[in-house]
Amino acid sequence: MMRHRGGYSLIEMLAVVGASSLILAAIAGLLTLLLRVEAAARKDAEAIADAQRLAEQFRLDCRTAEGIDIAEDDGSTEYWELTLSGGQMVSYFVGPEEVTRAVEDESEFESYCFPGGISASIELPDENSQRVVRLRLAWDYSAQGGAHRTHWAIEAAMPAGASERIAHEANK
Amino acid sequence: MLETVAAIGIMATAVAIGAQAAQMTAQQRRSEHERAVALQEAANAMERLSAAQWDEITQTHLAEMRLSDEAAALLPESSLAATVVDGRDGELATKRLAVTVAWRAGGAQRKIALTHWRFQNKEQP
Repeated sequence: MMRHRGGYSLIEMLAVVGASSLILAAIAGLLTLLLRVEAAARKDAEAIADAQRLAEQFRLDCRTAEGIDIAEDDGSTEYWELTLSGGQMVSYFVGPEEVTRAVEDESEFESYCFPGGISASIELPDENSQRVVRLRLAWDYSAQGGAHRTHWAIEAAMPAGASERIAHEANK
Repeated sequence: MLETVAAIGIMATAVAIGAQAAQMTAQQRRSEHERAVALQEAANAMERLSAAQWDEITQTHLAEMRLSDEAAALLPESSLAATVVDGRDGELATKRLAVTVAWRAGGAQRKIALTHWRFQNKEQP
């Protein structure tokens, strides 16, 4: 009489191991994808938040500015210098991945980060734009999986008394 | 056989859930970006109005305001509307300015509205 032995055959074991491996590989792939999407989303959200903070601070500075000037440092890097009421100087420097605001007499620095790289330029008011300064920002944004360049224009009104000074600085 | 079918079923479900989550995240991100751009556009319009001469702020002038090309390209079916309502606060003449940016996102109409009051200053325009 043959003895019946309980257990699984080798084929069954191979099928289970194969199926489990596939499931684990799929889960690992999904987790990697989700983590990558989440990291890109966090980076984008931080860049947007910093752009909004920069816009708010730039408008506040312009609102009390008596003059604005585009200057160059020794390395020919362009920066913007705002003279606030009371003579306080505020400068904006553009780096490869950040814009830095520096207050002269208080040695105060504030950075706005754009991890994908930032380019920024400023347009001083002319006769058509009255007293509105335009700050143009462009940075890489990973919307919908692909990298895109997003462009923002931030407009800021300067006080009425600043007009003459702006025109003078722009013609220097 | 049964185990294999069950495994494939579980895997397909996991892939579907993961793909849906990734799609929702991307949509949420796009929506947040669009909202931030719309907010900046409304704020820019308000800055232009706050710098404009008092007499220039009329409904005719406001009707000419448009979205920037960058924002119009990014926000689907977008528009900018600005209104002014003249009023008085005691001796002072006032203008109640409202700027609305509307766009379509995910099949729904979205909008952002900013309101600002200007008081006539006899000394400065």
